Amino acid sequence: MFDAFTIVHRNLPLLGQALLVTIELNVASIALALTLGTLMGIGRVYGGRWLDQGIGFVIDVVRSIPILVIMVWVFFGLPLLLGITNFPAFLAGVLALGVHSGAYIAEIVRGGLASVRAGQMHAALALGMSRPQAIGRIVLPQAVIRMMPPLNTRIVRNIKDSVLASTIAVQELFWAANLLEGETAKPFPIYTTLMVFYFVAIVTIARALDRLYVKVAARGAA
Amino acid sequence: MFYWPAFFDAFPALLPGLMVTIELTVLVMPCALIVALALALARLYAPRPLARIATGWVEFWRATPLLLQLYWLYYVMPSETGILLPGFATVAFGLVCNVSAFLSENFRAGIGSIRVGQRHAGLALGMSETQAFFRVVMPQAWSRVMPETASMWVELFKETSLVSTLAVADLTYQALALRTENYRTLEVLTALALSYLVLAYPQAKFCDWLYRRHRVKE
Repeated sequence: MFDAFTIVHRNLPLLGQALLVTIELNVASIALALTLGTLMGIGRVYGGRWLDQGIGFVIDVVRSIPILVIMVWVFFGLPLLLGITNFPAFLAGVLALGVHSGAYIAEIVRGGLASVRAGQMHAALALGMSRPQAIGRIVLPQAVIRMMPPLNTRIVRNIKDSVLASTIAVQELFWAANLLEGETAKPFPIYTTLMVFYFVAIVTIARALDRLYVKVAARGAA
Repeated sequence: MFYWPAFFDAFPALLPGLMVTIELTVLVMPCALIVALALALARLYAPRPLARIATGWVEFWRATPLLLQLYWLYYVMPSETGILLPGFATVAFGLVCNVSAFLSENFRAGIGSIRVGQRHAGLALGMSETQAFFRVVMPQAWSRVMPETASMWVELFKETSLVSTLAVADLTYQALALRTENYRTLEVLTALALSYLVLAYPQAKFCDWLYRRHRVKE
């Protein structure tokens, strides 16, 4: 039975390369999601009623469409709409994952900012800070710690969703696994190895993020 | 550039796929609820070894990508065990396992949040353990877990799109097939996204309303 796994062993260079793509895809899309999410969250809380409703609608739209559909739309549809040729699959994957996770993160940021008492903002303004300063230096740092548990869940979710980029031919881990399976017709060793790998990686990352939160949790106490 | 007739013509072609998507969601959710309750009860009340096994099972389904789980069931299970299920049954089974794992975490937290005094009071009134659980603890836990359960339903409705990669002819599958027939990629995929949006948006709004209504006030 273990002989079957020589396929995996022999193709380690391919899988290593694919792992690198998976890591790049996740780092880039999570960075994009955090940026978009923070901006949209701040916009909803401090941007006035119209901005709040406008951004709220965009978030609900993105959250109502499956990530797979967003991904194929961005990769196949968006270039046609914009008249771009040779749209790189990797970029499409980063955009789709980033926007999708960003919509969820925006709601987390909004909840976190809203949970900081209004007196904190007033105190910062009374000390002569501008509103952006007050948000950046006083409110956000307190909110970030409270946002960590749901953010961690979202980051882990982003990693799991990133395998869907294989459907638009981003050459990440799952794509490489499908390629190997197609060549060798041996699904058992290939998919089992990948399953074990994802399980170990995701549990490790989730535990590490949890531990980080426990370390700083006391500072975010209301 | 955007050819509207192709956009409107796409909807009737997507309809059979939509039926499969709804069928899958409606079939999977009740099964997942039952499995989730069993898993939550096993983790809370079963003897240690059984509870450990249930925890491991839940952790596995929560910590691996759904697409990989479905592929594993679809390709590895038949080749290793000889069990050959139809595609629809395979993905339905995978979705039940995945969704029930997430739901069971939620149920466990909900049931655990009801103070133990409630159960004791039920027992003191002469109820059996089963009666105390189903008549006293569960009804209170349910209103706490309901909003989360409703969002899981919406989540499942969207997640069913992954079955299109395994030749189950759901909404997404039909759209991708239509795209290769008429090459109206932008119109067809936009119709696809809009179909999900129109169906999931009201459900998501309903969930938001449930969250507001059932907010726990400490």
